Amino acid sequence: MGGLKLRVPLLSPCLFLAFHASDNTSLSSFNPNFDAPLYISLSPFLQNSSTNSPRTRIRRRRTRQEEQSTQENTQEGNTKIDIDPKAMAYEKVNELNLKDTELCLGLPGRTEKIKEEQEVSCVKSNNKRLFEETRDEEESTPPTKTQIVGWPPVRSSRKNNTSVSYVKVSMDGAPYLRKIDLKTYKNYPELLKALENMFKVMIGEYCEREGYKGSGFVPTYEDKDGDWMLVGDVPWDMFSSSCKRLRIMKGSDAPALDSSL
Amino acid sequence: MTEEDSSAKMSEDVERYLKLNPPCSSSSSSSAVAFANKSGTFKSSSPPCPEHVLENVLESVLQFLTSRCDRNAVSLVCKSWYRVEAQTRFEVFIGNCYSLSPARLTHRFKGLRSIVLKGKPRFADFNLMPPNWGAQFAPWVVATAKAYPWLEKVHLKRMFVTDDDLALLADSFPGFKELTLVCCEGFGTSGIAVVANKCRQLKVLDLVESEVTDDEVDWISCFPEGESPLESLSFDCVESPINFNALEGLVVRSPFLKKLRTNRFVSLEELHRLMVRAPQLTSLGTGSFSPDNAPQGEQLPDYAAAFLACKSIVCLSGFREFRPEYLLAISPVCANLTSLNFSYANISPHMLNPIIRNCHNIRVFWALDSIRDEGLQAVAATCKELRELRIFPFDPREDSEGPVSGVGLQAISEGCRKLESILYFCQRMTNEAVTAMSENCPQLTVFRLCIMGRHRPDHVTGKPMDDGFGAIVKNCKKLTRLAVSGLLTDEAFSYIGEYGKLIRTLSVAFAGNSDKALRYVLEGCPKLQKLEIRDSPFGDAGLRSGMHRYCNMRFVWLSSCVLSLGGCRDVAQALPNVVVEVFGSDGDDDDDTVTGDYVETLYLYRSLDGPRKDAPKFVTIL
Repeated sequence: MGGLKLRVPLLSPCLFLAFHASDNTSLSSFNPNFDAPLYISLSPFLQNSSTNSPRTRIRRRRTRQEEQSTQENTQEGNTKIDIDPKAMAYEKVNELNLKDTELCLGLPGRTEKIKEEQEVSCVKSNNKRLFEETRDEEESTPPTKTQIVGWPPVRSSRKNNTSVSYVKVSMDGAPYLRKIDLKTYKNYPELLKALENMFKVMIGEYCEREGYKGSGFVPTYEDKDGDWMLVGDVPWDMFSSSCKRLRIMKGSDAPALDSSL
Repeated sequence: MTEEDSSAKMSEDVERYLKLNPPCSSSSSSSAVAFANKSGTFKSSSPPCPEHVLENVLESVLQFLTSRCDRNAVSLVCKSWYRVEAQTRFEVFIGNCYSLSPARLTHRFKGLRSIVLKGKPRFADFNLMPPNWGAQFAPWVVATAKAYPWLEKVHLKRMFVTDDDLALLADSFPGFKELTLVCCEGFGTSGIAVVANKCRQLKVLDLVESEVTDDEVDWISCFPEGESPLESLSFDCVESPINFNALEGLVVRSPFLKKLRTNRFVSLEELHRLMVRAPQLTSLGTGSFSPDNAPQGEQLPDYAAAFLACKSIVCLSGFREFRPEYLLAISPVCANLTSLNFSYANISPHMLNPIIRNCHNIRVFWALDSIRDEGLQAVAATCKELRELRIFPFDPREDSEGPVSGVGLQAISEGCRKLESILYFCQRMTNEAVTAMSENCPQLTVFRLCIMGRHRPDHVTGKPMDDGFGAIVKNCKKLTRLAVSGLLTDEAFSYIGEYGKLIRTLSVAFAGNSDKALRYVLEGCPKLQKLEIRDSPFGDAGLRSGMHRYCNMRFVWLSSCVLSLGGCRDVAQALPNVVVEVFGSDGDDDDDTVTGDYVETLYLYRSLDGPRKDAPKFVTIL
């Protein structure tokens, strides 16, 4: 499977931040043209001074809506297991213990409770993607910016409604990915037609028992919990709000559907 | 008329009366008696004391006084006037629900018909306040249920309202007419159902930007049968489906309905049906603005005809999931529109152009930055009557593309000279554009610029944004509300302190170098009422510099600054009439979370009744 492999080393941005943050002089001495989050203290690294350096909060909070949707998912008999962000957050990646580089609030030496939190809507941190196992190797993105709580100051009701719903679409054998806006489609037939046009393939019709039989291409998607699902199983609304990316698998590569499922 | 204007002079009626009947002159007693005889308000045979007569007359006069600033001034004249004013006040505005207890309210005012109550500070909207902090409506509804059986109107903002509260409200006020809940939470469709069902005189039910839990109750069906007095029904923030047939039935039997804001579960076909039923609407929230089904050819309803028939529409909003191919259907009403809200619609300049070209009378325009600088130029070219502009980010992240910039801002300033209020989100800005706006739009009272990249300087010159904001405070002499952003040094704040003499609300984030900045503002802005600051290097010295002001302010919020517990304690001890709350970012800690000296969030406010009794464990009141 072709594709760009992007691996940007974790090390350099962290060291850079460490370097800058250790300078306790006034904020105006920082180079204003540098776009990194300058005023976040890396607490395990440094002795924080109490003068003139605000502790920017980067905790992300699960909003009531997020809570609700999680509850709804479990109520509907959704058997997917929630991936516990805690478990992922401190894996070693690239030989670096990420706990050391975790940005957190407060004075150094304070034992922080690890909270289970998700940033609301489209503004998801890039960190989580790094920690999870990525099947698709084009997908590694460096944690360039951690999301700050409540910034920009846009109410969550606005964020949810206008969240970008572009998802990446890959097809086995295609040289590059495409992106589509799920919101421009109202139902599965529209989506599948668009995919067929985009990749010039025949996907065929969905059948509840056997999926996409006979066409040779199987549209799958990765949902919020990181599981790969067959496109078409769940109602459209549920699909469009939980789909994170699409992958059209070649029929021969697609694992056969177990008849017991 | 601004509050400042009205408080600067007493109402003419009162002044005139005072000239004719000075309280101390002897001649007044005979004229007072004569007057009393005419009105027949005294019962005893001996002439009533002038004071009582004066009160009666004052009552008649004060009924004409509606401005709360005037009324506050009247109440300070003397005890007698205080009493009479209290008896004749029907509307009360409480800007901070913790500034007094419900008991104090009911003790002073005996005949209230309308209550406006605000709870949490604005930064709570951005997840900076842990849940369950407070601002519960419950104690207020309990107290007012007993004291004001004739209460007609309740308007709440950022309050925690439960279904039980709504049920009590519905049960307690037989003449209840208007319920408006803005940015509230804690209730669901079941609470709304009770209100709909029991408040038989309900004219206004407006749910604005509130979180409404879906209890799966068909609340629309709960409105009673028969003709409805409804004039305004807004439920665009309700994120659950509604029974459309019931809604249609309700609209049919609401001949006085003028404002209808549907939610995104109302399709274009359904909207069409509603519009046909209610051509008298003046304000319409269009719901999803998207058809349920793919168009079937000949069966397509004539949407443009429906808009044409609704000749009275002056305000349009909604477009929650809009389909661009239907946007032109609103064309027939464009020329009459005074308010257009596209802020939930991803509209490109190309889509905007044919619409905005006809909107000559627009006064209020909200949109996403998807309209780009190009769209703003189109607005500037046509909307000469624009008073209020709000541009929200389609992609609210720090490093997203940034389709609007100083170019758009400057274009607006040149085209829309009557502009009074602006909220503008962008990725980068120039001092030049901001200065241009300050010069072109002298009527500005609200200037809120959010450069989403923190600490971003002028992207052309590389300098801080001090000069731009300085020009705003200097040139916009009517400015009462200011929100700053971008790279700002203490100098920007010195300008604010020097020129911002009318500023009542100031929002600061990621700005300033030192305590001097905070001092400039607290010493320089005499009208400052609401100060909200986050992530700025302000500490105890800065906080101390405002001691003389806090009793005269509604609140001060400082989060992620460099305050210490000791510094906050000093304020609390020096100012007994000010409540000083400190708390952390997480509400999950069950015990006292103030570990160490660092204060994550300081929220202080004046209060007549001391610290509140309902503070959760994570809040420490110093």
